[in-house]
Amino acid sequence: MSAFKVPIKSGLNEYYGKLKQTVEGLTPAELLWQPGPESNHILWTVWHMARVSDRWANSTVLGGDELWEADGWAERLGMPVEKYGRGETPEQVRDFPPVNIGLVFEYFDQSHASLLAMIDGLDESDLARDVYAPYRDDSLNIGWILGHILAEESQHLGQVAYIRGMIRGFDG
Amino acid sequence: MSSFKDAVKSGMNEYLVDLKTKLEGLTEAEIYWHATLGSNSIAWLVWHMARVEDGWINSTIAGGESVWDSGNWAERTGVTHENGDFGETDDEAPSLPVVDVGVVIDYYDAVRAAAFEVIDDMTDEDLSQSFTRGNRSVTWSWILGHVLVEEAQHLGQVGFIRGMIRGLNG
Repeated sequence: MSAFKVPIKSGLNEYYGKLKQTVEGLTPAELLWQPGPESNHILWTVWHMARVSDRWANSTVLGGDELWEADGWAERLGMPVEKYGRGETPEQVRDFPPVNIGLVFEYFDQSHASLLAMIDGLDESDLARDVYAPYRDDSLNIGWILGHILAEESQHLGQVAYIRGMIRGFDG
Repeated sequence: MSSFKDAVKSGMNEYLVDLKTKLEGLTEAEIYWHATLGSNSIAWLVWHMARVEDGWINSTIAGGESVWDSGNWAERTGVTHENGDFGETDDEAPSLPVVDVGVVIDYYDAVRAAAFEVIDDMTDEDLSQSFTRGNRSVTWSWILGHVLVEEAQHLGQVGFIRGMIRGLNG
């Protein structure tokens, strides 16, 4: 009775494929452009999305280390291991290091693959379990987490597309 | 929560609940504000989200009439586009007539109630069924994943627009 895993994984692959298309061809200046002083830019958003998949899959659900730390991505991208994005101030977003987006996507590829592998390993019986998320100080249900990851990552994709549309116009 | 189907429904609940939160307290001017000439307004996005879920689940998967048609929502919302959801141009997007967003949310609630009945009735085998339009064929599995992704994208846009207008905590 795990057939409904398929639409969840299909959605995850859909948003990730679309994200790569949506950032294609953007210049470093466009990746860092903010439409308002408290609005996120595309580079920050993509990096945060990669962190979201990594944290939910590897830390929150599986209870292990994030790839961000374990595989040295924080160091390679020159950021602190605790940096995640949630609750950052406008100043932190504005001062985000102008890292190479190709390198961010190398991390995101690993993070996305680990998320799919985590889901492959879940049985229907796991969905009723709660896990503790220290950064939210809350116990969360694994079934809820699956729906949430799709909703959160897709929201950010929609933001990336909207920013691109503001910069490049309707078909740009 | 005890099934992957519930996880799908939970994601759908999350984006609709979040949407209602994001709309709270916005003025009509804010709901109709366009960041650029070709950028969608919150009003258009909310209406489109409701139409998307209705179209894919209540019409395409269930193979029946959309709630838009069966519930006479064109008249009730005052939006008379025949099929104006997909590929609207930057000339058309801003032309959505001034609607009461509360009525659009009423429509969305009706769409959601019907959509969950459809999903509740779906079996594992149903997920492999496919829908073909032109030379493109998609499975019901794909449709469910797609509805989540597309709707949440638009929710993210509503949140982003609100942030541009109101700032981070506005």
